[in-house]
Amino acid sequence: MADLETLTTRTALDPMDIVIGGPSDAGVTLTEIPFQTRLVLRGLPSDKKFTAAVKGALGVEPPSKPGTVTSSKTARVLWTAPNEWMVYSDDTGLAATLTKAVAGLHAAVTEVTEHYTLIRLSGRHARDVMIKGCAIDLHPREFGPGQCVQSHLGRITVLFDQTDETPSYHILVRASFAEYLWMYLEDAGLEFGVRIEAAG
Amino acid sequence: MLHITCPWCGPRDDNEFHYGGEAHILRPAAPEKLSDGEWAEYLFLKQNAKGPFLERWSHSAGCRQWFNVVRNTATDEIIEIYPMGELPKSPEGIKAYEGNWRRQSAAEKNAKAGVSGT
Ligand SMILES: [Zn+2]
Repeated sequence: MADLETLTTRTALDPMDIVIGGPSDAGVTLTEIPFQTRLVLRGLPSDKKFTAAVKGALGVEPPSKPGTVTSSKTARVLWTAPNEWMVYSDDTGLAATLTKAVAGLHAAVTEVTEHYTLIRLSGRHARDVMIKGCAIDLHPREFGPGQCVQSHLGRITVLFDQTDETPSYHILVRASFAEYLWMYLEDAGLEFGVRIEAAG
Repeated sequence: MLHITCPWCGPRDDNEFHYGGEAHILRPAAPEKLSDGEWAEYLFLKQNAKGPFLERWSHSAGCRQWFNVVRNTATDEIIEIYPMGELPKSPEGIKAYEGNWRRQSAAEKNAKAGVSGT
């Protein structure tokens, strides 16, 4: 039987033994952001009690417009379906807080933190790397901070949002696809120079 | 590649979608009242239209919602996209719906009789 006392938490990308570093003038930087709290929130956006309860717990209402993101100091809330959102937060107790807030309502909160990992791709060539493997129009005229999309990137299903004008993309990938996506992004970024940074 | 406009996410490549086959196949409410032939008709027979066809699609790589599409199977032209639980509004869609052999089938009559509470 496993010795539960000495088990250590591992990220989805641990097996790759990623080495931090790379050229300072790299066109893109890659960072794994592991273990950030990730919750799937479900409920009816037409239910005012639900949206108010969510706002009470997260500091912001869930976005009702497809492909958009709302954010507060506590959390970032990404639209994933007409009655479903992905919540990112640094608050490790947020699942309990949010569950309590929507108790008794037609709603559900599911913690999915370790089902995924988050990869941040940032830098002046980040958009060039993204569009190599993604059919979505990421031109600033069409896509910018505050928008999110679920689509294919390098042939796998991801959820990503743009977080600043650098541009930076936060790409949510299932744990079993994380190594593949990391290698894919390193390869796609090769011509621009890739620097690996540790999550700050 | 076909472009399909998800009612929520907008136009996407067809490889983001799953095909759900013919739309508007109602499950009989009282299958025991159908003959084996009528039941088999419900289970196995599909409209194999050349032209406007009513079908279901799911945006499986995106918002995972189901919706209905009127598509011309000969040209791949998408004529109409409409929500689950509704009927088509385009002339081509209405014609394809009304002209489908299934509307006269014992299975559909059985399903509708069940819905209206008998
Ligand atoms: Zn969609």
